[in-house]
Amino acid sequence: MSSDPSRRRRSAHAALAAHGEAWVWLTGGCLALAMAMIIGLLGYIVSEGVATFWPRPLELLELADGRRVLGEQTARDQAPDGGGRRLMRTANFELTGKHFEWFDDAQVKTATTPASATVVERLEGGRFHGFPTRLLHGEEVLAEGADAAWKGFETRHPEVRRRWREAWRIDKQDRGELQRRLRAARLAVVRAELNSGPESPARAAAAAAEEAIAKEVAEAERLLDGRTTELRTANDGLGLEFATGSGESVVLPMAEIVRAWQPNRLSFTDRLGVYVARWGEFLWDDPREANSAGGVFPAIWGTIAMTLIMALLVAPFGVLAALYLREYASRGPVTAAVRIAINNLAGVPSIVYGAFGLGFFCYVVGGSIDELLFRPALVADGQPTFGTGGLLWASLTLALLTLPVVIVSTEEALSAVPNSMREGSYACGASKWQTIRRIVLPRALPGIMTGLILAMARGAGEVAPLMLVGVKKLALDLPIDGTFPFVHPEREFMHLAYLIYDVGFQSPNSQAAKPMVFTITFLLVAIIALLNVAAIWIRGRLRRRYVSQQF
Amino acid sequence: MKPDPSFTGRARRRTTRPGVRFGDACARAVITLGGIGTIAAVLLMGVFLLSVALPLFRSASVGGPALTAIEGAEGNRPPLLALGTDESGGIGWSLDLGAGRIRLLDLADGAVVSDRPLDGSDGDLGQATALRVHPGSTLAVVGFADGSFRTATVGIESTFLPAAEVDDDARQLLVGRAIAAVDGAVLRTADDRWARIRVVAAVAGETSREVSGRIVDVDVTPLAGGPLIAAVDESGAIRVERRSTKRNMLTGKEVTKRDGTTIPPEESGASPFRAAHVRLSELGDHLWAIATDGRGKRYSIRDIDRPEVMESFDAGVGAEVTSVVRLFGGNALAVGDTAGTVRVFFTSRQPDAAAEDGLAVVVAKTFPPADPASPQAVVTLAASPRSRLFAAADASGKVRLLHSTAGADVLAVNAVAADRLASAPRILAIGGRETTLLAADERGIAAWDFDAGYPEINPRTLFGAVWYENYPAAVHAWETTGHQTFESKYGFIPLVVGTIKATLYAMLFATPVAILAAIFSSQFLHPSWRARIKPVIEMMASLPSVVLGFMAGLVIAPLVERGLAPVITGFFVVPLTLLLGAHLWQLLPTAARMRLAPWRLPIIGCVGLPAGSLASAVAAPHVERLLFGGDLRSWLDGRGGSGLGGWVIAFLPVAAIAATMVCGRLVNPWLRSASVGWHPRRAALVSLAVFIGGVALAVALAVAAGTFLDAIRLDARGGLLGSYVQRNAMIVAFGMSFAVIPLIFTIADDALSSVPDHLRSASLGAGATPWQTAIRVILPAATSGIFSAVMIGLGRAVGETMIVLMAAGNTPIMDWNLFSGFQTLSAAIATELPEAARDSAHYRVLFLAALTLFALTFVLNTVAEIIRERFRRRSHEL
Repeated sequence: MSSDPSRRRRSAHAALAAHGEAWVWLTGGCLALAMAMIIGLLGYIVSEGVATFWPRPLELLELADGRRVLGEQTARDQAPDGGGRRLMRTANFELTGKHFEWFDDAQVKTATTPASATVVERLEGGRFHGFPTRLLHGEEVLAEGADAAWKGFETRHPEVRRRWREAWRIDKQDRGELQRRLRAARLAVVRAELNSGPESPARAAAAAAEEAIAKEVAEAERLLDGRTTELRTANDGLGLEFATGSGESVVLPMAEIVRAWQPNRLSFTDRLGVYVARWGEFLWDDPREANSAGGVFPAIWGTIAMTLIMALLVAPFGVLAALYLREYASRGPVTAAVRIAINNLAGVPSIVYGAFGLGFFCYVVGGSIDELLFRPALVADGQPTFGTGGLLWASLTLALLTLPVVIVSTEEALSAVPNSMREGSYACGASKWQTIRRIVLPRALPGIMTGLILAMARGAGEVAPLMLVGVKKLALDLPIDGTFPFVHPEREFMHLAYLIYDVGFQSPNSQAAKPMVFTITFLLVAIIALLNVAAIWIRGRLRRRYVSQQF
Repeated sequence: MKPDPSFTGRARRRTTRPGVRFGDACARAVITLGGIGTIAAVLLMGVFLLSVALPLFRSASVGGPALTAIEGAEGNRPPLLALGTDESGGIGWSLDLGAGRIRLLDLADGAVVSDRPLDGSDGDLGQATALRVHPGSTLAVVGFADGSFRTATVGIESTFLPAAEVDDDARQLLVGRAIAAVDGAVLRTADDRWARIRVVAAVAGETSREVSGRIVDVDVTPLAGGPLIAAVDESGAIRVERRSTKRNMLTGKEVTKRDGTTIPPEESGASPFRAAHVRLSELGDHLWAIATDGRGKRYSIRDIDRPEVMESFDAGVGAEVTSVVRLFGGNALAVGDTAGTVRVFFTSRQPDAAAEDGLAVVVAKTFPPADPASPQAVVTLAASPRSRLFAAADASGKVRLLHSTAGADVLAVNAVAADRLASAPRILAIGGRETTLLAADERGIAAWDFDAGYPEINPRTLFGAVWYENYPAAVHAWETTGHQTFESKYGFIPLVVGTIKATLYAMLFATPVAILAAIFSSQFLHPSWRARIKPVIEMMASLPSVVLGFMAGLVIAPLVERGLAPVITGFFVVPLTLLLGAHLWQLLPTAARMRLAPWRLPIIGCVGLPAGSLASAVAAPHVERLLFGGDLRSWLDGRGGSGLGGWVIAFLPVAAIAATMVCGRLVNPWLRSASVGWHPRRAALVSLAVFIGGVALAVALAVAAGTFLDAIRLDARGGLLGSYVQRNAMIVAFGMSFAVIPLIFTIADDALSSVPDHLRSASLGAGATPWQTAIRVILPAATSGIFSAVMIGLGRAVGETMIVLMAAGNTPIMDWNLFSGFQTLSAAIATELPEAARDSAHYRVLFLAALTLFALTFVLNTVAEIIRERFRRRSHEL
């Protein structure tokens, strides 16, 4: 080949260099890195988030120094001295003062998985690991021995939980309702005093009404007290005695036990049952233990409520602004400048919107509303109603934040409607508004929806501005609930994204809370991914429609 | 006109139906109004931010004075006055010991509301020669001519009256006015309630008679057990005393214990030190004694029985001291002298301090005379009980309000004028909520309403170094929350530096990755692959930043902390592995290369990257041993190892560029001519050898430069590298790159792929390789698009909040260390704005931060938009 005269003149090296293979590989490496980053991140979140609730076996470690520890292995690692080591979730915080402990492999003599090892999730104090020994009712022993006690526990526990739940519901809902009535009556007195003076008949009437309500409430409370006492007494004394790994004996009141399972003897389907039950609690229950256990229902609800109200606010205004810019405003430098400004607002940091929301919505607008309409509450207990963060202000702030996104995408959707369709409509005698309503908007709808859904995805994940305008770490009163007037725009609320920050960074026991954070993150990412996929799907449909329907 | 019958037989209307007309008009109105309204609402944001931040720079204002004329003192005893106001600033009180009277004044017009003589219940207050009221409380100490001194209660008491007890006269009052009532006055307050105001003046405590001369100055500070008192007599003897009251558990009787020491006046020497002013620090650990001639001494009185002189200092700087006041917080003194200068002193830790406690008294702020041409002696000073604002009056009667933190004049009034005082004020007071200024001489009291604005904020305190109390030197500091008397530090610079640091490091990592990735995806990737990969990366852009922050702070940070050496090594080894992979790839037969070309990305991703990571993990311990003395973390802390490692890391990129240039300029031209007719594999082998030689050359260059700099004793530690903390700029850069890479990638990819196809086709048709086309044709055409992508990424990075909040540690430190934490403007807003009281200086400063971010991102995005617009037009022209 090298003897071919036509090839002799070519420099092999120059040909090689012209392909710039090394540089191509570098650019390819960057793309691969970006891909690896996103896939690694999502994969990690999904694997950690999905695995959190799966019951893992409990190991009983016998250590070289004679200690016996019952725990769940959460991590393996290289010890500084080169040997392996494992991180065990040892639980039983009240006994040992720690939730987790590292053990070097060299330290561990034997590791077994005893069948009766039990994981207990409690209302307070974190998890508990131990072996059931006796089922107690006060002094009386109902069952003795690991299996008998466990069986007894399993039959009695649902009933105990049912009673506990009922008492809890009475405390939260019924008593809360009574307190609300009392407060409303008290505010009525203050209102009467403010409106008609301290010695007016109106105030006297209100005061009399308040007294009557107070009496009624006291009566109702006594009834509730009776019921809760009855429920609690029935639960009192029922306890399950455990021996911990190190042999100490601890009695846990049964009402304190949220859930208990013996992971080492669970079959796959049983495990699945525990897994599903824990997911159920996560999705539907209130949080416990500074949000690091239990459920996140108020946060899910808060996120949904806020995002929906935001969408309701942003959609009409965004569409109006885009319609104006695209269909009505005269083309000129001013419109171009406004368009650039709106484009830029999409890039303004979200925290700036948060500061604006706090300063303008909460303090200026909310403060004025309080002065005008909610003065009694302001005077009576110095509590602002609208003058502080709340659902309405949070939604409005995020609506403002996402407005540029919606305007831009709506404008794009409007301009994607071929002009020939508009002209056709005019030619048939339709007016401008008829054209927009019957021809332009229906064609642009998928594009508008895409923008709206993307805005919702952004709103659902945005947390920096919310920290300023109404998100709280704990707010069990839902912003939308069954009590009149059903939507409480002034209430502070919980939010999934803020929960990630709160549980991950402000939790007293961040190591134990970490799996919870992963689960919340997984949930949030799943919601946002769902919204994104919906947007992409709608965008795809839109393209297909235009390809087939072009004039 | 009769309508034409149409073919349907029905009459056709030729006009538009009114309903349609009306609908059209309505729609136009609603859309125009709604559209303009919405756009205006969005744009309103900037205006609102500005309106909140601007009052920070509002200048102080002052109203006209209200004058109260009072009878001169009886006899020729110089009057001794105490002045003050109530909380609202509506009512003033004066205690005139010369005349022996207590007065309450309505400050709206200066009317005397109540005027009563000191009676027997006030003790010997009328005989006092020195009086000091602790600011913000009613605790006072009085000294007498016989050298005795006692604690006293002096001040104003205000209680709200129940509505039932308000009499008819009081009901007739205008808001803010007062009338006389039994032993005091009744005031109608601004929130429409009635308050009973009473002046209390009673000597209470035990008498101390340890010094003999006439007491000339006293001071008092409340400590946990009881008050600490200092007094100085005319001979210069100082007495410090601590009173502690204990209740006997059995008898219930209270016993007051007095511990203290007398410091005798200096006897020896030509001009012995004779203290004339004594001041205690708020915590009671220091005593300052200042003589009229300007000499000052600082005593440590931690052990009350053994005061020790810590140091002598010069308080007068050549002039005589006329007045000394302790500023709010009790750590600093303001001293006025006959030359008209006011100086602020406090102790701070100084390296060359002579005192054994390592502290030295420093002159931190100097306020020159109001009129330097004809300086007037300072006659009296008064501190605000609420902030570091204080007032100074000079002999000409000019009263100035000064702020010690800002080191600036706030406002000035003339106290001596026809409708004001007759002579220079003898005493001043700042009252109300820093809204009332009182000045009094023997015959009158003048009161001004003033609004100081935000005296602690000005461009100098925001952007300049400020010498804060007890700091060794002027610093840039951001520290906004502390105890009640805390000196807030509103230095913007640490936050600005933090913001720039976060942005810079994030962009340094994200920009090359994003742009190179965009080049590959737009130029070398099969379109069907690209259609799948692009949405995935776009998806990354919609990941909430709180998720990224959480991953960065709680997952990546601990990982990197454990494997710092592999990560640092990886920055160099992974690209090297990829380059090596490319050279090995060239060894493949051309046909195989062509066939495998579409699979380059998976090969790079699944083989190249893991191999690179593995290589870094393997190389890391060796690199650590050779460059960083065996342990990178302790090397960064400055323990062990030489400066070589840091320089090698810093110079390696430069050396790599140099080596590439050497190869490009010297080796390649020679090779090009020498390789004519070679077999491609031979050329590939030679180029592999050249590559390895180039790497060796780069390393050698970096090591040489490092050795040289190390030999002249320069060390990279302390600048860009330094002690490692878990949450640092590198972690933030990683976290932020997740947010910025997709943004830049998407826009850059769009810009690159929207370069008209005919350019590409022409280039390829002319025989250029895809690489040559990409670099010489496509990239130049897309430059402005890529630039705008970078600008938009920059805008996102500047304002990013959650990632910084969660992964940067939130400490407002000012350095450029890649491995230290920091705080940004956005994180400061997020954490501090909920706690800042509405309309306080803190609140407005945070809004200023928001406005800064708003303006910055607005400018960045506008520039990007304009560039993109130009690019779009140019690519149309192409």
